[in-house]
Amino acid sequence: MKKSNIKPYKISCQVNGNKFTGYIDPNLRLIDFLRDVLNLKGTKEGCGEGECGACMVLVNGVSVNSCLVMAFSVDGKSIITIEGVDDIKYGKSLKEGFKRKAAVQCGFCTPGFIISASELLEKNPDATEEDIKKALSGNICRCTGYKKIIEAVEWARKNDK
Amino acid sequence: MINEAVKYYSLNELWKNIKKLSPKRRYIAGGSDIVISHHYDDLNTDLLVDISDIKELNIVKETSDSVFIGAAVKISEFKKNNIIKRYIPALYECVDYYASPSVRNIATLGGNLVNSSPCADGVLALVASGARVVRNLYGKQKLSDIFDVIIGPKKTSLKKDELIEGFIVPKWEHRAVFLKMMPRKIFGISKAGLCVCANLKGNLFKDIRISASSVGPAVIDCKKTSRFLTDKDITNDIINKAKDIISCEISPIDDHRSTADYRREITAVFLQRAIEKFVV
Amino acid sequence: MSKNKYSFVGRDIERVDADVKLLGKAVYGDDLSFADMLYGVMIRSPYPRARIKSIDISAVEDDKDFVRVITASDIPGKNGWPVLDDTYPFLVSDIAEFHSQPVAILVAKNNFKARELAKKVNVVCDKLDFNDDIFESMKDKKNIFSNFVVKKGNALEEIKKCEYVVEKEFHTNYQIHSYLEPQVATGVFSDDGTITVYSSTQCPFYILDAVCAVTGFTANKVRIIQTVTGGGFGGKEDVPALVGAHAALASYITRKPVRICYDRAEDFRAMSKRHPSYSKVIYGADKNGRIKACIVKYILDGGAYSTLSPLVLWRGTIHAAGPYDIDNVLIESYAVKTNKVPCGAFRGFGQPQISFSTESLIDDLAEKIGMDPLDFRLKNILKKNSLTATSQKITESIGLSDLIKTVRKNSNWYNRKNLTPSSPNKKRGLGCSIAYYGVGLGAKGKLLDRAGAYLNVYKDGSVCINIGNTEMGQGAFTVLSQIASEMINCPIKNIRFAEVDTSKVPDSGPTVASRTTLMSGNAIIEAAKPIRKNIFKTAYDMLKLSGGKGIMIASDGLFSMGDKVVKFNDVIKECFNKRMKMSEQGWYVSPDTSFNIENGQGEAYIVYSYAANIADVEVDTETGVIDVKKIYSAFDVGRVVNPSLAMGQAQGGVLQGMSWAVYENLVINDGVMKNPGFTDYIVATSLDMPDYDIEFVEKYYSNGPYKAKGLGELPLIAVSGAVRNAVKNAAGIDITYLPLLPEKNLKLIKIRNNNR
Repeated sequence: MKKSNIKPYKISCQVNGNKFTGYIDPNLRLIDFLRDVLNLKGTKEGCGEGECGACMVLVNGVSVNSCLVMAFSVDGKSIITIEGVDDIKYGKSLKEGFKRKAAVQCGFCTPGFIISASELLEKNPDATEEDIKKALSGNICRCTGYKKIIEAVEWARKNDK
Repeated sequence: MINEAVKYYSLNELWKNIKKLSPKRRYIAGGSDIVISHHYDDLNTDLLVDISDIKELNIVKETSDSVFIGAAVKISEFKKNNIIKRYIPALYECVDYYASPSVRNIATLGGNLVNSSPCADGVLALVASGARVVRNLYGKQKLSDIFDVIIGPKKTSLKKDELIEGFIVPKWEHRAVFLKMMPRKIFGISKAGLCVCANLKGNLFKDIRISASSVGPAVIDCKKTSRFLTDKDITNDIINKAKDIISCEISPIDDHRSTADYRREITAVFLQRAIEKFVV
Repeated sequence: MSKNKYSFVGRDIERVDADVKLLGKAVYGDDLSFADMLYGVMIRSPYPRARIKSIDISAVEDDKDFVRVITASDIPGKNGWPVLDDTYPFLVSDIAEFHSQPVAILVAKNNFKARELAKKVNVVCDKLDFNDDIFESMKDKKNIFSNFVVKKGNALEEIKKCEYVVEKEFHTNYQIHSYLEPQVATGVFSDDGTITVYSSTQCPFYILDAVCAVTGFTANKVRIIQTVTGGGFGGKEDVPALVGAHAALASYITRKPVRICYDRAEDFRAMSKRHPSYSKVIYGADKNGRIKACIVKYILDGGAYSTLSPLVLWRGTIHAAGPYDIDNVLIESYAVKTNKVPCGAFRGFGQPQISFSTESLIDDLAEKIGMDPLDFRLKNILKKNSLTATSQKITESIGLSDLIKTVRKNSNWYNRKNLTPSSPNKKRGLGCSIAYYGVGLGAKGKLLDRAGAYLNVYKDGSVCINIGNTEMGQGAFTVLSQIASEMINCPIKNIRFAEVDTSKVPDSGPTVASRTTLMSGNAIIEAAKPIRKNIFKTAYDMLKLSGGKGIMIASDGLFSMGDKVVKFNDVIKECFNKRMKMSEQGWYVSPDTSFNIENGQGEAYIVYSYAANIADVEVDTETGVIDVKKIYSAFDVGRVVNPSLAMGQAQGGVLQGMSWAVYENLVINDGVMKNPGFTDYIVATSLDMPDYDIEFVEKYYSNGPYKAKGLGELPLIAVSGAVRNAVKNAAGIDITYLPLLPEKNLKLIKIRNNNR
């Protein structure tokens, strides 16, 4: 039996407002770190190649596909996943909008959309329908046909307190 | 299997330490290409050197006659940067066509060049802008033509440990048109891409550079076409002749994304549309 | 639409499962954790056809995380997956018949290592000749999985007498479900000799059958539990049984829980998809523009094993002539074997392919006759008392004519010549199509068309319901909650649907064929009837006792009589005080139909839903690119139980149909897939979304739960025909293949330009 040569990488980061400091396997992608080490299962893997957006999270306020980012690279950074969106601007209102506008069907793409949309509204509180479509163009939904998702984002934009 | 990852914050730190590392080391910046290979195939590497936060690779600065873009600057940054908007309009334009919004927050121009796909959108914009590459090996810089770095489909001339420090784009008066034939409205690998950077005075192109993507083993600098269009009165006849010339300058193939015929056709149509955009 | 007298049915009730999904807490297949869980990764055939000799694990067996490799010889039960027939082996023992067919399972201690080690395993095999062409393959009768005939009147004779005849051949390509959640299953063998499989699935009972087969266990020792399922569309109908069986087998052999979770490329390569098709269609009309004869030859490329092909073929065949009143119909259909991945269920189930062909040709026929395509359809569509192609009389619930008039009005059809394109090199046009859809499994699926439900009211007023059909995003749990609430007059929030568990409810068949509202709904109604009686009687007595006068009104979870009111929870308390029976089982069996398989005549389905679509497209004549700007649709699905959920299903289905028509192109060369992923298999994004203009026209079905029919698949079926016809009207090009790729469109545009 071959012994492992893996040298664990020390990272210190914030996840949903909680500090994490520890050693991780350098092979882990950010999505593996979130799901398997931190047990945050809300972030989903739909394709593993950055095409579907189901794995989106915010890193230092900016949306990234967590299946395209190595876990060790978030050392010193702050991450928000779907489990932490209540603490960011538009998080609660987006969730409410998705509920009211029936924008959730199978729900697998939903966390990624909420992350994308929260980044959009934070940067562009006057986003038009076209802006919304553009910002969400990296998130695939196969169930809804997108219209209700766009309506949900518009509701959140109008009704955020 | 990756056994180790290391991260450096300056070129000095990198060069001081790199030779001590495992010989199967490899750079990672944005990672949008590498992480997929790591997951699906085999990276053939056991050590990743994270260069994404090396300060020298993360700047955009201008001198009196050029702009330097660090190789690790994220693509999404270009849209927010006034220097790029003013002096490298092709790069500014290409952002909206480059992958998807979140991938732009990860991807870098350096990565786009090193991956050297014939469909590379960033490289397309750089070639038409007249960019050159700043390479760095153990602290020694070298200025290169893009096509001295890209030597084939997915192949570069970079030596072991050599990295792309950034790109130098000369300041020249021009506007840019960036056209991309995507498999849907947005977000996809192009079937054909065309970038035209030009300075139109009256009805004559004084300076013009044309690059084409997805129609050859690498991005193509369409020198014959741009030479032809220089200093000529732009008429329908000239445009048609230019279309013929560019059709011969490119060498598209059939693959699962599109056909050679279609790619050739679209490149010509794009050339016409690009010229028309300038003339309007 | 009549005013809604119901408290819950027909209302926009919020999804009951939205909260947990929005919190990121819904438990999908890969979110479950078990102590000591191992990970299985499939080892697959590297060639389209190969004789498998051995699995070489020499490069991995010394790794500390390697557990073992499982092959066909390790199967304790039967190495044949029972899906209609059982010719598809769980693991190849001799010859692999398609690229990526499962050959072995590698089990390792963690997910990352399992994938890494699997890359190093070598499948020792001999490459064999293979066949990837349906016409070549059909020459050998053994390669025909299934064939059907529908013969009404004498089409071959009558077509000769027709004044106007059109004939064309059509081809359609695969469609990949692209559910966002890849296939996943976890097998958990227990020391007491039972096994549980947690699965992302539309049909837990199919998995039950498969696990019993591969392990040899009796059904009472096997339990299948559905995890929250991230999309299905038919792609999680049969093949999860394969994934579940592999997970069960691996768990049984290793005696530990085993998770198998596919990556996207693997899911593309190995899982079922919409059949590619060839069809030759002939329509003939008399001088008055009445269609008199229809002849169809319809061939599906079934892939390497039969699986669901006979059922898919049957439904496609029954509907192949289109929703028209035609006296003479001849349909001959075949599902054929090729050495490619087996195809199966996908929303529409054999109908979308032939709908593309027939709706395209109907437009061509209208043009030949010189009639407006909508008027031509109105002249020939099925109406009440019409006979379908199988001579089934339509007795009720048909809104087709209203649907056509609705989309005609909404799209401003008569003014379509005045539509302006957005730039000079573009051309704009409208095109139409219609569809019908037999709800339920039909005569061919009769054996499976039954459903059970268990309704349990607790003494605190909370209600738990078990059904055998699944929620996969379509809103089943919400719609069925509404039906249950309406029946017993309880607040919606009192109801919880338990995770679907094969040990709790009898085999209710698959969640397919748009049958869930109908079948599970009726089963719930049956269970609810005696409970309702108890509740209403008790409420009445309570109100009377408290001095209430007049008739009792039950609505919104309250019972009132005059000015006296009692709440549902209080009524339930009283029911329990009286020791009433407050839990019941329900069972619903679809009504018998008469159908003769020999000539394809008789009642094929219990009832039909209907659709009409108009697409507004723009064609760039210099690039061949199609821009679908807007789709107008109207649907008749009987009563709409939840309007906003129905709208969501409709929009989603319409977009899926559009995306298939213009973008989705799977490329398989020499039996090997070239674009197994979302990078190069293109599905619609938010920017590709057309505007939707969708309406529902309710034509009640007397046997439906609250007069509802079925909705899920209908919206997708005819979209491709509408788009193709719109492109024809816009750019004058006659397309006979799907998808409508710009490369081919441009060629046709140039030919047309040259001919002028």
